[in-house]
Amino acid sequence: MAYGVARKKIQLDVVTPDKVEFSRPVESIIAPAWDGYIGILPGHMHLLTNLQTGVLTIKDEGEEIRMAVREGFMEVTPTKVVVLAEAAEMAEEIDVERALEAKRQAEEMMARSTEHITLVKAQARLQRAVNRLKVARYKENGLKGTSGAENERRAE
Amino acid sequence: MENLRRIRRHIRVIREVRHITRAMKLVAAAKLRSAQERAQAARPFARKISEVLADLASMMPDPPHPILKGRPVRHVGLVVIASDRGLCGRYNQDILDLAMQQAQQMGGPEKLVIMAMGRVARDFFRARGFNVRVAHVRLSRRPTFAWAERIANEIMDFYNQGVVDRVYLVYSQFVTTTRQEPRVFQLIPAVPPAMASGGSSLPASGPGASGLKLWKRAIEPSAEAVLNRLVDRYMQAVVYRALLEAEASERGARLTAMTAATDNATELIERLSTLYNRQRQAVITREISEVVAGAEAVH
Repeated sequence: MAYGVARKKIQLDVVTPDKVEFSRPVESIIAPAWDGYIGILPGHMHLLTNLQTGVLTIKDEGEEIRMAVREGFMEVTPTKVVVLAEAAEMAEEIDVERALEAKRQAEEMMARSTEHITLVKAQARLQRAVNRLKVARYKENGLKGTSGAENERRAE
Repeated sequence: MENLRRIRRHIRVIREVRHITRAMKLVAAAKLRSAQERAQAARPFARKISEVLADLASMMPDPPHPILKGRPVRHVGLVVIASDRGLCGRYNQDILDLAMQQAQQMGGPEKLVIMAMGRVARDFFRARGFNVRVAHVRLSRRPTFAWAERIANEIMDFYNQGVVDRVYLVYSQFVTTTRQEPRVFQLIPAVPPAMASGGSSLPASGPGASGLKLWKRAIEPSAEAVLNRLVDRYMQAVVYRALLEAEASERGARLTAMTAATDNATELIERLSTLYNRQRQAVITREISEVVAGAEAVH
């Protein structure tokens, strides 16, 4: 470490029904909480919140890791964060071709749907596909430290 | 001579049987590994979600969720997970025995509503005149979370519609390849295991302390909103985990059964070969002594 001082860390566990996706102490986390993105540092207050489909950003040792998470929950204590998501994928794990295909299908479904329920489902699918593409593109473009919105503009 | 031919035919048949049991054994071994890995990988999620739910429920003195509360029981739902196919030793028998035992305790067939997973479970309860409301077959091949979601939602719908007032899950817990434990798990009213044992990540609080805890902790958007989603997800996770445990158990049971069958066949072949050789030798000896006797008579 540059200043010879070990920075404080917070244990992060990202768990999905299929596996433990991530588990180690990190410096900070930015998570898609129910009403928008929130940042979490060690010593955060107790919090239990719904998570939206979005990008989970993990910062540690000057490195930024991004994950596409599908809706779930997050429990925060001062020393520990548990993210329980339906699915969580690192950029490397995302199949861009498949995500593009899913996006196309979701758009088609939205165009065709006449009922509210199918429209909502299609929207959720589209959101997931776009979210995964977003995370995959961070990796591709090597755009570190830029905001999501900026990156999206560049990717268009 | 007739006798010798019969033994030879017997040996050939057993060889063929062994061929099949050995093939099934190899297939079971290969599938067991991935099934076991998936079952173990699914455990942390089920455990964590159970902990979070237990935490939240313990903070609310009177959890405002029907699935946590329970109600007077008129009908009991039994979700029984067995296999689609046989040739897996006592696996199905053990689960069905336990399910029947549970059924007796709950007051017999007329009070029960069966949700059968796997062909064997379905046929068993149908044959005994139980009310089999739902039957899913051919899902043990490779259970997905989407399947579990569907089944869990089905169960919750039945509860909300008043079809059942209490639900148990009967499945087999994978311990080791040679050991599977049939278990009964209470699904509704939901008692997350972490709550039952009091072992959650936060210090437990009595009803009196809950007001204070609500102060110290933020819940967004609201305790009720999180609880509603959490209960759904918890139910799905529990069902998913049970499906995976059952799959691994079935593979393990089949591997054990087929290994035993293959070993038995080998032993039988050995015994028959010894018998065959001894009899052949006896025939040869007799023939020689006849030839010798004949030669002596001529001299």
